[in-house]
Amino acid sequence: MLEVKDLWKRFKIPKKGIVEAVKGASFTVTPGRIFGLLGPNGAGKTTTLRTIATIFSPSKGDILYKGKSIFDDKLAHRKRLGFISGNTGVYDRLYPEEVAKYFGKLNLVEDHLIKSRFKEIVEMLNMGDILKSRCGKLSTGEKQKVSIARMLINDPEILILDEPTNGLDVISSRTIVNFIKESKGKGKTLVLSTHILSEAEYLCDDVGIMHKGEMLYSGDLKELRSSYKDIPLESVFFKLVGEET
Amino acid sequence: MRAGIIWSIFKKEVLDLVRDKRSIIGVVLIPLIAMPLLMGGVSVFMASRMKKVTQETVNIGYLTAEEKAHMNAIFTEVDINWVLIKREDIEQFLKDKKLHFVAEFSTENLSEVYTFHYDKANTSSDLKFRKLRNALGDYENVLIKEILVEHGVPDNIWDTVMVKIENIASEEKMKSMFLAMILPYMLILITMSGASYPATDLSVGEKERGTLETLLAASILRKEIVIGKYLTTVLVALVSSASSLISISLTFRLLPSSSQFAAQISFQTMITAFFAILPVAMIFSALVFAIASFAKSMKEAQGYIGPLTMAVIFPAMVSIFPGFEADMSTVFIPIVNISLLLKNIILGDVRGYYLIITLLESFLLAGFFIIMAFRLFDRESVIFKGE
Repeated sequence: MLEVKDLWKRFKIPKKGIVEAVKGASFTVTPGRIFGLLGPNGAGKTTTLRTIATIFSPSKGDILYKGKSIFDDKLAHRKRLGFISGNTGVYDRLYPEEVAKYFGKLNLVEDHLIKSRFKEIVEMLNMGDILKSRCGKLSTGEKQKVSIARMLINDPEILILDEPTNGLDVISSRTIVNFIKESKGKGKTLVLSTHILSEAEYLCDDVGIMHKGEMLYSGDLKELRSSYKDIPLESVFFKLVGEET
Repeated sequence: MRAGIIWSIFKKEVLDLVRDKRSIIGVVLIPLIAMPLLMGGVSVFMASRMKKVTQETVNIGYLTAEEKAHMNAIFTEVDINWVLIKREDIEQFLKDKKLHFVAEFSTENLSEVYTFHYDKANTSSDLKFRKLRNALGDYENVLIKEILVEHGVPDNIWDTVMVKIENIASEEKMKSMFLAMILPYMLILITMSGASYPATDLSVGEKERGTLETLLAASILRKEIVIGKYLTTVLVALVSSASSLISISLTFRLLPSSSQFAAQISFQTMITAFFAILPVAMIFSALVFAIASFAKSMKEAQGYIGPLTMAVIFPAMVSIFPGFEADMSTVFIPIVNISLLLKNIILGDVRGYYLIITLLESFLLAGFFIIMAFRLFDRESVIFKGE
């Protein structure tokens, strides 16, 4: 179980001073359930996810995984973590297998495991036809498949997906959505951020609704909707944001 | 820090750069092909032009047949085409470049006066004038000696003061002078430009392409990322400087021995020069990497590196300027000391203390810039600058 407890993140920005990107966010992510972090651009979703990935350190608060702070041993935490975002690039001059192998090596995965896992991932994502092309020659959707392969090569327990379908066409989006559902079935701890509420409604079991750095709601999606008499999530979102601002 | 992780990063970055046409062209092909073409071409072209200018017929205008006859007897060694002109046409003939000179002869008291009208800004005329001036000098010497003998003065009085020069420099060293002046400057600049492209591509380039975030989320230390990328940058800078060193040395070696630029560097000197360039590669790779890490885009990084290159040009040029020596007054000045050390290596005149202090100082400086890069890479506001 991943527990985000009273997370604050402040940045010192030249000419702007101190900016509070996340203001006391708390939520819990349960293995085998998909937690959706929802909110408009600038809500603090990416900062929260980057802090879970230990790319950022919190200004205040803590994040626990299986009861222990993830910041006590960042390298051990990152080893069980997979991180991907809609804007994630791949190395244009490398082949998909080289990208996956590189990240396998960085995460100290043994060579034989890299080989066998990559084979499985290629089958799962149907990547066979792109293996002989350098990443720079691939389409956006194909590049995102390479990113997923890179992310899965160390068989992570926690998956952090920051707007993973951003900029993808319908077919590529479907591949990613199916992959997320499959990962849920395997009992992974999944945190997904999106500003596409219909996607969240379809995928997520639990949600956290963020606005201007604050967590307006976190908990079961069904409970949230029933408390608002089952109106669409988009309407719930506007009601929450409207109530708070 | 784990050597295995650094090695994985280094290997990947090298593979990435080897597949990049721009880096191959900039780092290997340009130094290997363009530099010799440029230097050899300029040298051969200059020599052939000099030969042509000094050997071609000199067009000289004269005003009277008597003047021409007198001067023709003096300039016997010069191929001259004499042209009779009027005084009022002197300027026009020179402006139209129909003549190199208009020469006049007259006498004033006991002196013979030779007046030359010509365009001194025209280098071709100026070079030809030197030949005429030398002929006149020889004529003057003969004349003075004749007058001295006429008056019963021994003609060796002319040699009252004699200057003899005993050049202790070997012919090889004399021939290496030009190379020793120019090579340090070129090597330093080439090494710096060799470091600039990979340093920016591997730091801010990775930010721009959106691959840095995933690297930061991998189970590695930021210091390992910096060292892996830094070593790649040093390697590329060294390949670039080695390519230049080989190509420039070959160019000078292949020049005709009659050329004033022809010089031969021994294999041992080349190896020593290569090791002396190592600290330059280390300093610039660390410095440019730190600067580029601070930038939010490749464009911004280039904006920082441009002025840095300008700042390095002057200290690198001390090998060309007279008056700068490899001694205690220069040994602590970064870049200046490396430039002078390289110069002395080529001339075969290295002092042990100068080599040791220069290398030690350069390693310390490189270490300082690496620590700076570590700190910058650790700062969230720097890594995600501009987001």
